[in-house]
Amino acid sequence: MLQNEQEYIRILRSRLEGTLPREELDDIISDYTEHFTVGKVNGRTDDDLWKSLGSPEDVAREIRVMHLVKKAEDVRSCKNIFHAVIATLGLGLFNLVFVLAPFILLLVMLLVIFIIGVLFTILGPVAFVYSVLQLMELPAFAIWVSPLAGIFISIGMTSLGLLIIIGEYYLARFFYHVAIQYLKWNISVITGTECTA
Amino acid sequence: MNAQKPDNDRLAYHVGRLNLSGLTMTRVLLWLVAITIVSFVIGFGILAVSGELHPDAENKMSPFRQTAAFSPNTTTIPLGGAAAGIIGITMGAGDVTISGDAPAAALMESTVFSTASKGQPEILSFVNGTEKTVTMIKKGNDNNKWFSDHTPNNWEIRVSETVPVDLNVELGAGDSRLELGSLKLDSLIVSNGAGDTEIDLRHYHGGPYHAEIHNGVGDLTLRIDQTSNTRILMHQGVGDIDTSGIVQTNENYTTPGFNPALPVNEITVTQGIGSIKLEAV
Repeated sequence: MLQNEQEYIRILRSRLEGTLPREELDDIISDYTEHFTVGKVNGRTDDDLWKSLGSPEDVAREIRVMHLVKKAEDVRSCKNIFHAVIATLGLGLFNLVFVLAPFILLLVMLLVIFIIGVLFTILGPVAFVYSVLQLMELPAFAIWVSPLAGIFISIGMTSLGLLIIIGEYYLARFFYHVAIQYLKWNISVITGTECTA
Repeated sequence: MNAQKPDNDRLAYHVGRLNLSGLTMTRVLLWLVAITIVSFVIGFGILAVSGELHPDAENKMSPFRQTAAFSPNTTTIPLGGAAAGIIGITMGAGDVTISGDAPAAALMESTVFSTASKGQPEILSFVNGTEKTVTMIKKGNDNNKWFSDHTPNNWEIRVSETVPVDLNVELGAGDSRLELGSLKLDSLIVSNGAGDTEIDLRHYHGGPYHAEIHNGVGDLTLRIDQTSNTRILMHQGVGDIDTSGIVQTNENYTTPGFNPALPVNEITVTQGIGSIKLEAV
């Protein structure tokens, strides 16, 4: 394979097309073209510049990761953070342990909290109905030790469930922010660059 | 940047700016916290004040009814040299099983499956000459239903097979099974309330006995040995009466080959509104 400027730019462009917006892609291509131009003026060869920049595949991968993390930071969504995490895995297999595993654990934890909140919110009114039925002395529905206490505890269960769901939202926001910072730190450690793309 | 915020995080934007007639998200949260705390305090306070939350090992401090049987509480009443026994069982609500096979030298052994604080019966015994009397009583829960409901209550009672006994069983709500074929009965009185009752006197080889069975709302099944010399006097109530292997003459039901000249097992059944099934097997 020829290791010249055209080939480098072609590979870089093809790897980044569809991921980055056109303007941002043109800027990056322009930067790398300029880098080759300046290098050649200083007497360096294409091969030498290619080696100093690193392979266009690696460069494209790093740029893509930085872009997706920045995108996830700017536009909060499950899809964006998921794409950012998956892209980060491409930087090294060890990120299966350092990125994917904590991400999955976090997701499971948030899911469990959410399920608990939903269960409390749903079961609260159900338990309330059972309390009323129990007060009507229908033994088949006697689930409470004391139906009068059951009425109040049912109300408490419902409001606690709603609190958990709302709290879950803020907790998810907090962990989203932490995850973005962690991904940035991870990228900077691996690539040795600051993630500001 | 601020103009972009709603697009970037729409839910946060709407939640943060939720305003329903002055009801902000902060107020909603504060109300929810207050409702949660107050509700739990009142709910568990009622349980604590009404004595439903006992800090003992068998109580799980749960506001829900216990659905599983608790650790059984077994009591053995020794014969203490008595040659006969009078046993009275009174249960308000719960399931009871009575059978033979009490331990040697014991008139009765009972195992109660219930909470430690609730459902435990009062067991009294005394000896009068050669006769020992045992009463095991637990009536219905005295507490108001608004504050308390019945917890599961199961009794397993084993009676001596070696001495003759007078057995008096009063049942309220709940099912009961009396397997008395191995006992030596002098008399048997069973009063059934709302539950189903099954009395099994098959293979009975003790002395002749007199039995009175008062059936209430629930169904009654009475099984006797076909070879026994048994006569059943039936006072019919509202429910159906089914018989199997028994000879009927007016209100009397007898086993095949019944001979009034021989010692007779007399059973009087007073039917309530439950159905009765008589079987001679």
